[in-house]
Amino acid sequence: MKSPEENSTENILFELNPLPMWIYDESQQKILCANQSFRSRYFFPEHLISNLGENYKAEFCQILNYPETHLNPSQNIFSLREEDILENSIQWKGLKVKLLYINQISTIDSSKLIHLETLKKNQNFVVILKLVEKGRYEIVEASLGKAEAEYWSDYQIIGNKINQLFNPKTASFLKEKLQKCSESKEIVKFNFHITFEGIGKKIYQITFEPKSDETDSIQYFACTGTDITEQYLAMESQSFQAKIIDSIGQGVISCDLNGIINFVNEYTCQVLDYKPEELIGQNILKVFEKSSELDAFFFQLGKRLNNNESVSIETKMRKKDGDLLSYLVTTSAIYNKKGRLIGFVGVGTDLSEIKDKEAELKRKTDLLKYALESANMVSWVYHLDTGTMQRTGPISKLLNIPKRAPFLSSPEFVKTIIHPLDRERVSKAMEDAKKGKPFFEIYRIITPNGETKWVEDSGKMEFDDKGKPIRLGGIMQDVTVEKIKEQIIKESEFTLNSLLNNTSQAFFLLNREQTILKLNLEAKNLFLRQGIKIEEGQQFTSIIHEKEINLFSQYFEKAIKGISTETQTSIKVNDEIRHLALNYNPAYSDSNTITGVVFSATDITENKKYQKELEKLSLVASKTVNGVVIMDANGIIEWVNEGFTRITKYTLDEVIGQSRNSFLFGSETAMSTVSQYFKKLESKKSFSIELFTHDKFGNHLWLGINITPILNKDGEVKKMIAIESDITDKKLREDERIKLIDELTKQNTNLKQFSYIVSHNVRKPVANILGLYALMAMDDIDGKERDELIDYIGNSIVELDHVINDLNNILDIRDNFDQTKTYVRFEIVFQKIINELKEEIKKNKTEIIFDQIEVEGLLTIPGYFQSILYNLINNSIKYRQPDIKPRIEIKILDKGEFIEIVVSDNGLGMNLPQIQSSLFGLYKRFHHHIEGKGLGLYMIKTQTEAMGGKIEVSSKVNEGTTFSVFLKR
Amino acid sequence: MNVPEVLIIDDDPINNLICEKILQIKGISSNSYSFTSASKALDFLAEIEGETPAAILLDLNLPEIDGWQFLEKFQFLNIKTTIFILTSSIDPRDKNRSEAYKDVKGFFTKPLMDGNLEIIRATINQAV
Repeated sequence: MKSPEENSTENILFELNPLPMWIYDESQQKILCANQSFRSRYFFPEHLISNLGENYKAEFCQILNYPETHLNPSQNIFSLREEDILENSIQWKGLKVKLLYINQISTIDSSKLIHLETLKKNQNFVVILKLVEKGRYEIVEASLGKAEAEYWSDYQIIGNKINQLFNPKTASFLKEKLQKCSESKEIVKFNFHITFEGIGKKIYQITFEPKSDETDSIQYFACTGTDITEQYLAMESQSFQAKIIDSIGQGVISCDLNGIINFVNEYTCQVLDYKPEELIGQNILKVFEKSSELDAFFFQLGKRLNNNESVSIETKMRKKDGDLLSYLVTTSAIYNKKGRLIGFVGVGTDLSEIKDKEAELKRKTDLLKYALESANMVSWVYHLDTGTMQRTGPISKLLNIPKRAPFLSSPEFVKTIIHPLDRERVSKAMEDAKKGKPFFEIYRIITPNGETKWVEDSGKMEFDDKGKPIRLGGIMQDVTVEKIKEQIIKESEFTLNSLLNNTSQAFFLLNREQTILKLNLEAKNLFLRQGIKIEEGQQFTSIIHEKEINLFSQYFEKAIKGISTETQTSIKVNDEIRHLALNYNPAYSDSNTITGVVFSATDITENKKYQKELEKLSLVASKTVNGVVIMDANGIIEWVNEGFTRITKYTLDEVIGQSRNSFLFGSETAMSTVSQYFKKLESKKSFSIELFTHDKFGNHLWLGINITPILNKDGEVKKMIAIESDITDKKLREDERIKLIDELTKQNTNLKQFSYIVSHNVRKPVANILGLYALMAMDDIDGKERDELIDYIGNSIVELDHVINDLNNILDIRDNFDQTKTYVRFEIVFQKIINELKEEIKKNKTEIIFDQIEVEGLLTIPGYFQSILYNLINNSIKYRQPDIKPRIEIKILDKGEFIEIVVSDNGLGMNLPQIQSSLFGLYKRFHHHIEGKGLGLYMIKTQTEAMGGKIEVSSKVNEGTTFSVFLKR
Repeated sequence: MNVPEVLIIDDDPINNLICEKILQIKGISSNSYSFTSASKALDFLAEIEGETPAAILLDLNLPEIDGWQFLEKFQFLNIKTTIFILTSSIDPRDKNRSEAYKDVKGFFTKPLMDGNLEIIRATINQAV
């Protein structure tokens, strides 16, 4: 018994039909073939079918009921009836034959059971659909495969309509196919993707075959499904990987165990000048030079390739035209799924261009490196629909995990191994890849033992005809070492760059051709300040003054030879020439060869000018009487002149490097001055300030200081110059002036008072005399009255004389401010006064008490001192209370710099608030009933003040008055 | 005490004598009275009712309360009387200062002479 040989659709339908079928040639009395369903159930001995007559159907029924006909006799528990066997007359390979099949298996329970059991061992399923009405298909028979049976049972799906089993989208897809099948009356084949919950995605190759009944209206469809999930994925990834392999710059060729080429990539074809079809099917030896090397190569392969290892060999490859190319071929074994060796794949690297031995050696090292690196490469394919990932390559090594770890392919695992910080980025890149962007990411993965590795992952998305992304394939490579190196380089580069860019020196790196390769920020700024823009790639000589080019080249050549030079050059800037201090140094490459010149440049034009100015200045500055201080931008002293030392007593050595502000002020300096100083200092403008401080030895000093900041072109403070001068004398003179002005003001007040005295007190007796004279001249005045008037005139003249005497006295005090002082004993003074006032004291029974005499005497002007005390005591007696015995208390108190003379009485007292302002005024009188000129207090005050003292008073009406005179000792 | 026609306030009795005599001799007023203290004069003026003096001759340089203080206090008495300053001062600042007081109608420098006497006479006549 044979299986159908030709792979026609009809045969497949026949072969895969769940109904046991066979083709019987009546004329030969021979079964030509039987389908899978039949074969899996019956062992059909040929001899049993001889002598079958017209009633062959009944005969078949009988034969099939024989226990020995069954493959599994123990399960032979059914009896097949003649009506169960149906037949059709068909044309088969030009013969008119009978197609026999066992129909209505559903009615034959036992046979069906066996039948389904058999089917379930397969990956395939068979379902018979019936067109119930338009667009409605019902499952009438089903035999499910292994996978589907986990999801559905046959009984569950029989009797169901498509709509009931599948979601609307899938159902309409299937109906569309059935419709097509029904219309065309031809077999429809397609791939069908379906996801079973809990099982996953399955891919079936589905065949719909229309079946007609006797009336020729299509009612049934035989649906055969073959589970091709694995093959499909394998195929897909193979073709995809082939694409990747095609795109790499290395030749790839594979052959089977017999050495027959079954794959070449484009690169190989290009290099060997063949077309793919010219190589496929040919022996691999066609592209190799026959040599002992090759034998050794295969020998090695046979020995060593069992262990997933690869072997590399240098060999010669033969081009189509017979030319030989030197190649390094790395060969690995190919195994099928079951682990059987099925062929070899070789990757070739071109060696023909290697010229000298050294280079070859280097290349070999590189290749070795590459081989090592490629050992850490993983190629992978990610299926979007199934969510699975297939990998080839040493993933286990990369991830540092056991080779056969089962979880390697789960997407969750992939997610978990990606470093959390990179996860989002990678998945975004994945999403972008779905939109057609190339996938290229360098990210971290975490190996199961917690190690972090950097991988470079690049891939490409493949799309179906409709532009739907299907799968992403790529190559992942361990780049941890490179990444770390790169990081170190980046970091050091960054540090270096920031160092270079923050230094105030300009740096240039020139190659041997004097082209600027690199320059730092200051280098750019140096020229930018002059309005010249320089950039990498420019010839350095184009910016140097033409006269300097020769010299520059000379030093440049020296540097190229390894000699460093320090020199100065000038550059031409518009019409101005600027001086640069240059430092030429050879620039070495990694291999220690001189690749160019690195040199630093500092603009010293300003410095030169500044230096000259400074020289001049310092000459002047050192000779000046003023203190000159040169400070840097932070106020740190760089230089002071002799004048500074003269004023502050600090020498240059003591203050150099110190901050001027740190010893500028003293505790005697007013806080307001200090804050004003710092405020002005911030303004970056020249300012002057006067402050009271002390020198090095603590001697008080008035310092006038003028600070001028020297700004550069950018307005930054470069230096500060302070001119300091000792203004102590000036300040003292100022004080004197203030005193003098005070004195003058006082004098002026006095003058005013004098004019008042003249206008009132001198004028008054004069006016009286005038008035009296006028009266006397009148006729109505008799002799007696006239005599009276003459008396009055006499009185007035005496008064006038007194006033003139008073004025004389007052002027006398003022004129004699600098009278010589002599020591006065108080005791003697008081005795003298009491003696003078003897009459008054006696008359009024005055009591004078010396209460507290702490000081015995004083260096003073005796006349004034006596006058003051006389007037005070006299006043106390004069302005006594009429009914009370006058009592005068005198104290002389020691008040340090001063002595205080207190004279208090129990007299009339005064209403001070009312008269305060005029108390000590000239000719001011406060007791009209008592004779007085109003001169006493005025004299006391004038005399006290003339001696540098002061006077205070306290009084209460009817209680008494206390005068306190303070005199300097 | 009767209310005098002319009130003289001056601490100088000679001046007061001269004034009273000359007013009498010139027939301007025989009813004049002198105070040597300004505060006493104020007390007097505060007590009188109905009749007021027609003129006051006021000295400026007085003990205790001087002429200026008198003028300040006088304003609060609400008495309609013409005040003439009669002072020995020839200082023009005093004259200027006196003009600030509305009650002051003249600034006379001692001694009291013809022109000023006629002004006083006119003032008294007007008051009568």
